[in-house]
Amino acid sequence: MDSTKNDTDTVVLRCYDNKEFVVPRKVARKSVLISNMMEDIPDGSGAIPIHNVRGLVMEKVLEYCTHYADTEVQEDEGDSDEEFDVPARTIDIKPWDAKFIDVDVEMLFELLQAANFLEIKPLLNLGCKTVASMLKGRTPEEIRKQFNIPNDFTEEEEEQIRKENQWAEDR
Amino acid sequence: MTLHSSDNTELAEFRRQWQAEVQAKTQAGPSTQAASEEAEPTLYDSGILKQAELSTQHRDALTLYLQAMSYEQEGNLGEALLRYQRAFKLHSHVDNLYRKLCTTKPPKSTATRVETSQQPVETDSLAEDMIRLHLTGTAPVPIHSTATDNYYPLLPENPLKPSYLASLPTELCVVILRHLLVLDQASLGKVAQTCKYLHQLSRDPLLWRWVCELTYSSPALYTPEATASDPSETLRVPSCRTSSTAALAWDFTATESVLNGLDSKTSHSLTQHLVKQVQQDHRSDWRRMYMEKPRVRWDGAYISTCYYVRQGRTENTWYHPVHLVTYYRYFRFYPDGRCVKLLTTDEPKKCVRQLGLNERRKGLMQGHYTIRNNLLHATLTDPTRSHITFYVELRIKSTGRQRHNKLEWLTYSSFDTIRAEDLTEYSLDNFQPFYYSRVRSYTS
Repeated sequence: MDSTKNDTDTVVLRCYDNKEFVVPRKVARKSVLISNMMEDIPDGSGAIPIHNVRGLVMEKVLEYCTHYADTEVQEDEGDSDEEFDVPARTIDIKPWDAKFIDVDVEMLFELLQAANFLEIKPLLNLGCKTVASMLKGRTPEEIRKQFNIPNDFTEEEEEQIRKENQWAEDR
Repeated sequence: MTLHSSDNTELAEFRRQWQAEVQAKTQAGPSTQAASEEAEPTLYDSGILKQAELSTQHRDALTLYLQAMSYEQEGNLGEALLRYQRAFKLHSHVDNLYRKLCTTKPPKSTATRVETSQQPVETDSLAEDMIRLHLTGTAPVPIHSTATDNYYPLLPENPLKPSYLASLPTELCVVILRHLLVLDQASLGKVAQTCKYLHQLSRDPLLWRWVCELTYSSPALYTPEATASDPSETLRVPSCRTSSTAALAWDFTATESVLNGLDSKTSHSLTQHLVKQVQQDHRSDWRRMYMEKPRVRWDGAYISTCYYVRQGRTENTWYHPVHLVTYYRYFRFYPDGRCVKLLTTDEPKKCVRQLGLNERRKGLMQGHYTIRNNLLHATLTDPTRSHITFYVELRIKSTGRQRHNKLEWLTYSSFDTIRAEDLTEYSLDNFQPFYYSRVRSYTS
């Protein structure tokens, strides 16, 4: 995994709309998928195709990867003991992340999909947290409106499901 | 995608095969239909085909759809997918059509609303099938028992606009819901009421296990040694972490840090403890556990409203003013086992926002609480009179409106360390029970 053994320090990524990005290897390595691909594909054999992501989204993804290029990937959250005294172990979003993810809904969901496809776990988590905070404290009607979801319950079903979820009512 | 691009000869060959198959079936009747072990559904299905009056195109689509289903049952997914795809091409809502035919026939039809309008399907039908295949394997709880409706595709309300949630894979939606639970548990109940797809996701047993672990891992609700016979013993246990930075953690989301903060041994024994409990007392149903096992809600205040009548002073004999005095007791509980209590004449609107651990005001007491079964014990001190310790014992009850939203007074006493007398017990004559009320600012 040591990048020094490679002659070239950059790698070319080609999105499905043929937009190409030249990125340092350590940035590209933030994505598990690309990282694996770089190992499989011999050096200098051209661009790595990223079929599922369009250029505009890739640009945003790479912005994230570049920012965190020098930060070690955090191991799976949850099994670190030393964090007991650190109250930051909440769902708090870091200021840079908050600014980064402040995009329109369409971009947010495309980022989510891209992070999922490219296997960039911290970005995926950030996206999920953001969507979760968009759902938080909303009424069902508000959620439907925001995410363009139809109400496909019949009246009886709606009543039943309302009863079923009484535990979540406000009083 | 690859299916589409496979060469045409293969497709033509397949088409010929299929047509022969359909012909053979219509001639020979239902008995020769797909050699699956469970003949029951297929026989029934072909009955549907005969009985319903359909256009030929719809009939073709349905036939394909039925074939696909029987292939799917046999485990021949490749064939099944091909047929599903063709069926959806012929009729974009063939699944709804099928469901409609199935649900109109049996008497216990739950009248699923069917969109027969010809709106375009946004999602790739292949992807939809993949999700279906995935779901039928692991589908946790069908909404209302009818076997046919155990998957609800998420179609956009307005077909011209994309439905963002629909484009996400199911497992990502579940991750989002998990994050949502950390932010605010009650929001899951709202999400469940939006549509069938999200309702079904919200019943995922793993989510409920996560909720239970978040909730019942609180130091107030769980002690590893489980030696909680004497309340005054356990009440001294939680050590007060009163640094100013720690104050950040007192928001609702501290639950997660509580859970993650447990060392691996404790969290392991906690998990075992909970698993044992859910099996013994709650029929192995985590959701049931959450509903049944007493707890307090952390996203709001418990309010007790009291009145008394005070005779006003007067100089005249024909005029007797009477004052009706209303005052309130507030309780707010925190996931980490701390709590605050406030006695004031201020109305809820005015003061619930100021009900916090960092607040200093007259009548505000701070302390710790524990819950054992349905009994809640709290030890409280008033910073201005710190030598007196107050003990409160409450019983957690449910009302018709909601679970665990009422706290009944059992005992109220105090102990003065300076005078070191016996416990002073107060009469509970004019004490009213507490009722839960949501306060939005507590979860933000």
